[in-house]
Amino acid sequence: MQRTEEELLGIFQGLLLKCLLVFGDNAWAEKVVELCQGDGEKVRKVLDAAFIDPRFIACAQALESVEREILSNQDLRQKHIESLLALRDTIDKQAKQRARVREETRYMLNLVPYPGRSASDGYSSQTWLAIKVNEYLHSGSYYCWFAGSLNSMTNGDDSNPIWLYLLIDRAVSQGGINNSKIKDIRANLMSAVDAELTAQGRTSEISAALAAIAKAPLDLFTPQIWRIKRGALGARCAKGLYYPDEFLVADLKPGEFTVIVP
Amino acid sequence: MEYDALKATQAYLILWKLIDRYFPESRWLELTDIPSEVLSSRIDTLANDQLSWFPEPEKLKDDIAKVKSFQGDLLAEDTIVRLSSLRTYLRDCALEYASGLSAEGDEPFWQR
Repeated sequence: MQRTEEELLGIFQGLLLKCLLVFGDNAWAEKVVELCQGDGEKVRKVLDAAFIDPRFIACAQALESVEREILSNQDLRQKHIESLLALRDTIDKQAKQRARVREETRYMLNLVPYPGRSASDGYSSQTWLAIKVNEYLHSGSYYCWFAGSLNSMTNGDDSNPIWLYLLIDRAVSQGGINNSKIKDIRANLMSAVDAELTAQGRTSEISAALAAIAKAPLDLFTPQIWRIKRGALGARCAKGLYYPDEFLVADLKPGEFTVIVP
Repeated sequence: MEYDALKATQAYLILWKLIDRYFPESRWLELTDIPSEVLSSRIDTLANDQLSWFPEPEKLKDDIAKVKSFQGDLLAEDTIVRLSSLRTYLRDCALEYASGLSAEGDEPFWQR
């Protein structure tokens, strides 16, 4: 199919515009739009200017070569139409590749180094019933074991907050009223109530409190996960004897922890 | 003397806790530090009691003797297995006797 000179110039301008866009220079793109209104000489000026940018040289040289031939030899127009179309395909591919690289680069730029976990935090798993017994026995504070990590690798399973959480939560969710861990929790809470109320001289309360814990429904054993402001505890935080990452605070205050999994 | 579910529960809680002390993994479930002397003292009180408030005094006496026999022992592996079994038994006894306690007319403390 024979193309008119005007069509060829239009294709050429389009290619040049694309080429400039591929290299991401909006100022050049705008200039091309302004200059290439059917005026081949202006287009040449743009091409000449493009040589200043080394990234642009190969593409611009190809365009210049095609343009020169088209303008000088009418018989070659049809041939160069094919060349121009092939060049346009090449530039399209380059544009897509650059877009992909830009996208990948965008993500890479977001991959800032991992800031690390805060050494001033601690984590504990607490059942709802233990929280209530704590509040009943020690008004305004909590007796609380915790680890420096939610998934403490250096502690045993029974001193790993997330392991305790998973174990107890599954027992509660699966109706495990006779689950050994649930029984251990119940017995420990009863033992604490008996010892503390006896020590505090509140012996008249013991029977009812023990009965309440003994008959507490399973959903009261639902665990929470607390994040503890370990750094704020100072000397009140004692290191455990058995594992390197376990700590005990006997009087944790409400403002010193956040419930992160209710 | 009449059966006293509270005393029975307390007795088995103390016995259980003394054995539970041999298993450090349990400490994360504790809500207070019960001094060993307090537990030992209460065990001694129990051991000197006639246990007339308990339906089967001989059974309780046996359990007290079993617990006392472990106190201060260095534990061999087979002892730990026996101890673990005793611990589970004592815990279940405490929970069973506690189920006979009455909280009549008293709102559970978590609803107050």
